[in-house]
Amino acid sequence: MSSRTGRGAREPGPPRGGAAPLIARLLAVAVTALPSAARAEQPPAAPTPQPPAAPASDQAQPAPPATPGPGDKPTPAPAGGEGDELTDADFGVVAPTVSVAPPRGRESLDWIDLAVGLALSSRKFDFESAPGMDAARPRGFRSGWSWRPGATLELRPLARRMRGSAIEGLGMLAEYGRTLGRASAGEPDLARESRLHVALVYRFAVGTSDVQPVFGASAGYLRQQVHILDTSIALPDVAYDALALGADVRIPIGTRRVALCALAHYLVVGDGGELLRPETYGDSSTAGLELGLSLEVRALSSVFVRLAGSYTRYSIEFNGTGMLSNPGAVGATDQYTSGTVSAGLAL
Amino acid sequence: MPESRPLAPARGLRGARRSRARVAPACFLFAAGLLLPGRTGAADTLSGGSVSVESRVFDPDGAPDDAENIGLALTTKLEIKHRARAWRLGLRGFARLDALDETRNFFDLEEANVTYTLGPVSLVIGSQVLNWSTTEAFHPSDVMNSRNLDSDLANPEKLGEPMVEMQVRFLQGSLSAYYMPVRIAPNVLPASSRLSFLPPGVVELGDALWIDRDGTPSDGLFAHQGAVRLAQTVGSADIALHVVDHSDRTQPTFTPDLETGELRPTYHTVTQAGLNYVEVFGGLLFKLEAVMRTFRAPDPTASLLITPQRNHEAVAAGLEYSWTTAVGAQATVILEGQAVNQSEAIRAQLDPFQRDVLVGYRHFFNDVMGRDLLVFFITDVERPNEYVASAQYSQRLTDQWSVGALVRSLHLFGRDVNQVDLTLTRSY
Repeated sequence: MSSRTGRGAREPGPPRGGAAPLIARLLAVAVTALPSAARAEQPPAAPTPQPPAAPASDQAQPAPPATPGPGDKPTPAPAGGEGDELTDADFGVVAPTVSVAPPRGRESLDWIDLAVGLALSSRKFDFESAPGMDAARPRGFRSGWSWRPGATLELRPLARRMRGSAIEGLGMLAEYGRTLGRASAGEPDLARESRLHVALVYRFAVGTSDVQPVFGASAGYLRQQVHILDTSIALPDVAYDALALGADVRIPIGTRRVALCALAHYLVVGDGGELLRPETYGDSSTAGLELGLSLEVRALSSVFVRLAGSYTRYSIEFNGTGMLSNPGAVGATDQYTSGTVSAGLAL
Repeated sequence: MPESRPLAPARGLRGARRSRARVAPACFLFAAGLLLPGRTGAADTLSGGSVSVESRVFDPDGAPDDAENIGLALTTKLEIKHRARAWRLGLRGFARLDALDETRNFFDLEEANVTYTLGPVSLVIGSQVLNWSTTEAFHPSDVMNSRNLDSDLANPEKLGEPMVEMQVRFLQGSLSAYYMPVRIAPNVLPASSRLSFLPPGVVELGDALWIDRDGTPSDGLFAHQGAVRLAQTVGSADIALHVVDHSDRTQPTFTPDLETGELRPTYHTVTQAGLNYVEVFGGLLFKLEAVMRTFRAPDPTASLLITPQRNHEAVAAGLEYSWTTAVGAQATVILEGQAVNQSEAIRAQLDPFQRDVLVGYRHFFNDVMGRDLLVFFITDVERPNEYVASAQYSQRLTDQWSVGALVRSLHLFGRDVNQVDLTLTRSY
């Protein structure tokens, strides 16, 4: 028994299961003769990813190679998860890896967007005459450029509470602006113009990136009113009450901090004030279109500056049964142009 | 031998000069054709077609007394293609019989042509329908075919145009030359049609009056007309240039004929040079159509008082942004606009969409039923009270049956038209 025991006695060595690393070690020695840029500097028995600055093994590591080695780039773990499985890395072959960053979800829509601004606004009103009746056309009106301060508030209370749901983009919009006086000093103020817009707004952010567009649709009430101050101007006041149906888009330009915004509102006019009363120029049909373009820059994460331009045009058809009706006034166009600089908060 | 297979229902536009006498036999012919099996026995022959029941209803408010506010039509389409070595024969026709509004009865042989191909060169002789359009709603470039105006107001059906086409394919595109010897007049709307916008007092339009190249008015059907088109794909852009010299059918003037007392639509000879451009930027598709039209002046010594047509330029541009929704549907937002470069009064006469914008949304559900929804709104920037609002929906019911619906409201030239269409189609 003793002899058997003595014959069976073993020298201290690697534990069972260490045969594979041993073979790998031998192979690794063999491949060092190969002029490969991918020579194995990593311990062959440690196929798990090895960050360069924090070796997982307690075993002393050789000095970093001059050329990129496995220690410079994480290598994938073996599929089986067992340490005794041979992999390409065991033979000094670095499997190509592609590191893909997880998609970054787009931030939720701002729940509040508040801006105050100053606009330069002008109005141009022209009658349209029947063919050949230009001589009978009443005079139009030019307001000149006027200062119009204003404010815009948009609230989306569901943007944070119901993020990811279909109604997170539902919100409310309110805008108001009113002219204060002529931009040219010393010139008389001919008219006072005000504009009020309140609407339900729905915004829909496309895709998963913040640099993808946000589309919007809105429906609301718009009132645009002009009161002629100069009594020498024989043009009736207007006060358009309209259903405003709109669509808009915000397109980030490379980054979410800079964006181009465009909007269009179709205005179904119900009432138009003194000008559109049947006794003035007869029954009328009126509709309007408002187009806007703006550039928004977010200097800080929640502070923005906006440069905007807008154009609104009302088209009026008279049926010619009013007291002021004549062939020179079978219709009219009422145009408003404005440029605005505004600043605000988006949270 | 390749197995023949049924074709999809003939798409696009069709029509012809109204000829009621020919309509009934034509319909029988088409119906007979449709009784043929979808898979024909011949090796290189493909055939297909469809039968549709088309109904449309107009809001009677504001309609003329003699206007027909309801239409119920049986529409048949047939398409046959045959190929033998380098030769190909194409036949595609269309006929419509309306049970309630006989002015809509209609027949047209859209395609009846023979093609011979030798390497990169093809020669096509016969009637063709060409599509030179890129944008969704405004098509200043797409002028080669005449139109059936008694069809879809936003995109009237095209009529087959007899022509000879020589095409040479090279690089990533082709160069095509066309010769059109016949002038095909549009199928104008009768004054009683709900889609007619003739001025009050005009009972019916007279026959077409053509202005020849030298300015002489003519009733003749034949004239030398031609076109050249170069199309190439450059990177992610499709670019096409064209020059057309022909009798324009899209922008007629109207000439009073003192002998008959009729108002005759007058079609002028025009030279049109144009550019089509389409490029993809990620999910964004940019489209452009730009044309320059130069009309021949009518002979001032002509006995008829002919109003000349004005030279002008027209540009239509569009942006489409598409994305895939969480459930796999394809969503597209469409923005388009068209502008005609002329004085305000003249451009209003040239085109009802002379300064117009379109905002639209298409939702293709991407399912086995092929459900597709398109909603758009067009309005005139200069006269916002002119608009076209439309919603279209279509889907398959079975492999052979499909249904489509359209709701449209518009205000043009001081008239309101509200319309609902429903179409049931069986394809073969």
